Amino acid sequence: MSENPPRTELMGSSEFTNHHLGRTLEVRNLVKSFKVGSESFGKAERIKAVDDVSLFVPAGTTMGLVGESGSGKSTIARLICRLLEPDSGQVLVDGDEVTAGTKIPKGYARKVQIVFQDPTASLNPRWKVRRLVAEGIRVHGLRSRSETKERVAELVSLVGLPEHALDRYPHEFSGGQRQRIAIARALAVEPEVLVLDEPVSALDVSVQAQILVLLQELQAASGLTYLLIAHDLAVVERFCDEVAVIESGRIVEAGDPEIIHSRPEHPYTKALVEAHPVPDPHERTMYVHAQDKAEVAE
Amino acid sequence: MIDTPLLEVNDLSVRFGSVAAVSSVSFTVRSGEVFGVVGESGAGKSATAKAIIGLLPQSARVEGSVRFRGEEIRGASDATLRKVRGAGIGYVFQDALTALDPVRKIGVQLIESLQIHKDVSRKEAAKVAEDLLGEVQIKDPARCMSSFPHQLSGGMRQRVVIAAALIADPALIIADEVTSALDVTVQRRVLDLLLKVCADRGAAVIMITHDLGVVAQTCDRVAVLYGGIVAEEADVFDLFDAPRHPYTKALLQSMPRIGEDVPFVPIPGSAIQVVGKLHSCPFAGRCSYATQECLVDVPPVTTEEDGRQYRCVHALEPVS
Repeated sequence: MSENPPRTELMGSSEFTNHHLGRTLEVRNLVKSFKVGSESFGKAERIKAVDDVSLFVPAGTTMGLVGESGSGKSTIARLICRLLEPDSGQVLVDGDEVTAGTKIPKGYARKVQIVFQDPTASLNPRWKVRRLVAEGIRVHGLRSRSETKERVAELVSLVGLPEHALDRYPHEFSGGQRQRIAIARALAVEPEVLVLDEPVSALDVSVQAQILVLLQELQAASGLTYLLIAHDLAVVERFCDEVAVIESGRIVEAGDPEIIHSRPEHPYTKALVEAHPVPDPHERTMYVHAQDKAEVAE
Repeated sequence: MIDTPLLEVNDLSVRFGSVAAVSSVSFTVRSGEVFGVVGESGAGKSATAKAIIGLLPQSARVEGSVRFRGEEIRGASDATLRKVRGAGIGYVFQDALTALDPVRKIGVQLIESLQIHKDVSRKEAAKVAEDLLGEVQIKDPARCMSSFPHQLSGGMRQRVVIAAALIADPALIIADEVTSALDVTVQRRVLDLLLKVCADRGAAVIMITHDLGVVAQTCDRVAVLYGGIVAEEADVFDLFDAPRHPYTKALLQSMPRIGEDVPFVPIPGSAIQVVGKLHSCPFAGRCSYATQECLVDVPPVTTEEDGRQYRCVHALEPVS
């Protein structure tokens, strides 16, 4: 590990070790537009990907964000993590205020961590798990070298990976295990908010449930605050304390997860619910079967 | 003749080097039905589908028998296969963008697909293609004919690929994860459409998917694949109401469902890749019912009176 000399070792204080309280996440009037087309052809226009979005996620709870591709879900995730700069609006995490056009407060990147959809793309293939998980701790100078080593081993077991995983490369793992590594990596810097951008949609059904249960257990144990971005209504309905439905960059409906199955009001939410393939052949709504039924009725 | 199933797959095995992707898979598809092949990644779904119409690379070793309308097509000559593909069996690929030639217009591609199989003039073929695009609910078929694939949206491209698979009027359509890349509302429309056009023409469908929701909504019968074997094959209602194989049951329990306050239970571990010859139940390592018996050999096929089949020595009791 000579290529990456240890950072100044100033940590190890109790401030970071035990205190792991999730904090509220607040988003106020966030706006982000992108330029589409090329000016030289006179067709350039700006499209609002996120249009005046406000959210409030209480500490230790999960807010679900559903919508179809292009609705602006992932843009919101990136704006919150400041991987993109908003045109206007604010993000507030644990007293830190991130406003468009201002410098990001020191330590903000530690407080808000993101888990991406595709763990194959988000993990450096040339690094072993040990280094992948330790990177954040080193970058933020959170622990001494020996403490880092200990903490990394702890994290790897926390996300349900065997100890020998530490000395392996990402490609040696299955998709679900890689997502566990990505979660361990996010947790390593002791964040307060986890932004989960479609964390299970690239995984097999049986493995999706593993990751969802792991995330639930981690939240119960540590009080982390989650923003879960997903397109699967069933996942959102079962996993979240509150839900916001987003269409064309705007929140069209928000509230209790109930809105998904029993009281969708907005036509877009209704369309999403109706299109959801219910895993029960007794509740068929497809065109052909509906016709069969009509014929039987006649 | 009437009793000949449309497609009979018997003891089909596919190996890539030392990896056994498909081990001794058998099933039949009847005329006009929607037959589901469901499984997780690596279960052997796509390898099975591609082996049926000889689309696997040369390096794949395929054994067993595939009979289409009673005629053996496994290992058939290129000339025979070319006749079967398109005119007998249409294949709808998962990724519509790679299934279409990016540098040729949609119309040219559709006309060509028809002229290979039917002796029609270019003008007649163009008419058929345009009508078919209308049938798959493309709003402006004439404009679509003169468009390039990249000019269409994902849902429209998938419709074009469905049209291309249907144009020579095949009796069987293999739909290989056709809607996995699409948004749920688009997925819904494309599936509806696929079922409708196939029902109108009396074509059977093999619906390959990892999504049990899609299976429940579209299929008549289902084969559940795991580790390259058919773990269970049953009528769709029987399968969801009373799974006999522990894997099917575990898979159903691992799905979160809207409006049901039952906890979803993950299946521990991850799917295996079978290296060498399979000589145990592939699910044994993750199965809560597994015993020593499961590790001795691949469980034999049990067939019930109603034709339901499963490969498990600890089959779950039918629920009455």
